[in-house]
Amino acid sequence: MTETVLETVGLTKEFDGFVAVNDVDLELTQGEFRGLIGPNGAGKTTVFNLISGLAEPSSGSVRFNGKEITGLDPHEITSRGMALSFQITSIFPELTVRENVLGALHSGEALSNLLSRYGTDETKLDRVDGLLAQVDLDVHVEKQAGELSHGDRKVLELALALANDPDLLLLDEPTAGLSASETDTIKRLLAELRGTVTIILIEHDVDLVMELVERITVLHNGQVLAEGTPDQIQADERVRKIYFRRDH
Amino acid sequence: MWSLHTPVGTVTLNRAVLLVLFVIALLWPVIGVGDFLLFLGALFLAFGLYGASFDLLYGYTGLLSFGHSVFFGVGAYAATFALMDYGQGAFVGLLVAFLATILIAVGLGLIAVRVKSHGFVIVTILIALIAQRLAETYSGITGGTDGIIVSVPDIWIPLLGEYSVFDPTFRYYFTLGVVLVSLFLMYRLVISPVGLVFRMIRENEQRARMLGYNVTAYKLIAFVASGAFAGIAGALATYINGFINASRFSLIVAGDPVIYTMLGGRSTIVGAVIGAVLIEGAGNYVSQVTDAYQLIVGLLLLVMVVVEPEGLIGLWNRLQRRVKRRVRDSTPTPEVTTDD
Repeated sequence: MTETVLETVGLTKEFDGFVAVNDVDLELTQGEFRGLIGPNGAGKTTVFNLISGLAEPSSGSVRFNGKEITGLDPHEITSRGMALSFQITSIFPELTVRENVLGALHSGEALSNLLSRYGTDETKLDRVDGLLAQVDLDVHVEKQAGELSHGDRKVLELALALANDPDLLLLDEPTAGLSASETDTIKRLLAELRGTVTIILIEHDVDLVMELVERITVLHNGQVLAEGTPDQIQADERVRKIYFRRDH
Repeated sequence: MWSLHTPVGTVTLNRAVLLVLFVIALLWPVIGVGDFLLFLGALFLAFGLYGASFDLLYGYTGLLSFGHSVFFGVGAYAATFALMDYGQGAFVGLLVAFLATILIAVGLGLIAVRVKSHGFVIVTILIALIAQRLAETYSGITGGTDGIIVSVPDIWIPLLGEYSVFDPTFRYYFTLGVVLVSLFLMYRLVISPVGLVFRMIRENEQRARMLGYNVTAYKLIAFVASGAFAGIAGALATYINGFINASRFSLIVAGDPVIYTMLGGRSTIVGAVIGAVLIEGAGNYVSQVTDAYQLIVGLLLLVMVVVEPEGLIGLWNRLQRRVKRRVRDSTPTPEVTTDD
């Protein structure tokens, strides 16, 4: 049996009487690549916030790597091996690209290295530069992150999420606002990650999702409408009705 | 082209400038500036440390505190009580100032760093106001606005013997020594992985949190470290002045390090020291010429903040980049190596 990395049971979030996420059950096994799709306002980002601790569920629970994490602070959850990349690019603009990733890598042990200089640990530097080479940002290592193009910032955002070798990666629209060639870069990176880490991908580009993931969960009005392989989802009448209507 | 390779290491232009400033500070008493300038030199160094401690909090961690005078004041009073009421020496006084400020900063920090952005500023202002009011109310202890004369006992330096703080040259070097050690410790902190986390919090608090950092804890560390060094600065200023009163806690005093850091340049540590020396020095000279010195210094500062928000060091860096670009553009071969 493959191990369950993430399990949500009856996950629900209410804002002033409006139910944004309603009784969502998700189960992801190790190495799974899951697509999370649904029309605007379906509650996709809220689901991410509930899993990562940015918002507290009104009811329901989240288990990560076999342990209950509901109600923990975001930093406690992420330091257990969960990483999140935000829909709106979230990097450290005045730090260099290398410092960005180095900072991501330090978490958990910064205090115990109080007497050292950051950026002098060779193994860490190798890891940082290796990761930056993997995502094609190695030419920009000394540049301030704020000077990067929008596409490169998105890539850096992904690198930050990858820095600590997470067990679970939550990606919220990593290709939003990117050009076709930039989207291809992200797509290639995601394809390389397939199988090595458990991923949930929120993405508006349905073709991209269909191409990359093994299973898809469709959210509609905060509820799970359907779940299955890309083929099953594409064939599902209810999904076609709300989601593919315009295209098909 | 901006660096000189020597057997002992590479000297960049920035390092050369720092070295020159350091030598000037070191030789200040030797070049015959007189007792008054020695007094001012020591005092400005203490203010510089005060400014640098603020830079640790604001420049690096992004927390704008308008209540830094509390730590300056607590350090000053803690040292005063250690000397006057418990008969301790100057070094013990500094240690007591350091520890007392840490204690106070932990208590206040637990409240302040939980409050987000503008709320933090307001909380620090309130803390300063309350501290000043308390210090004025309990004038039996603090001396109120009239203050207390502080007599510092002679200081025994290992291997060198005993000196009086009334000796201007000794007083200057004593201050310089304490300030340099403090600046060095702060510098070590900001280049450590913890210092990187401070800057990450300044840049993007949410991101730092989502990378697994306990942002509140790191803010508290910055707040306490910053406060502790402000406490040392407060104690030093008291030793130099031989006097302390309740206005140490005032909002004017709280605004000083903000101004030093804005003028010198944030997140540089040394920028605030340069800012302090220039502001206080200018204030001292211009006040001899005209009564409107605060207006003049204020206007200059306003121009500075508008023209170059990164302060003098920012201006200096911009100048260097411009010269570098000009040199590069006028060089026909593309093989110009530049050092940053």
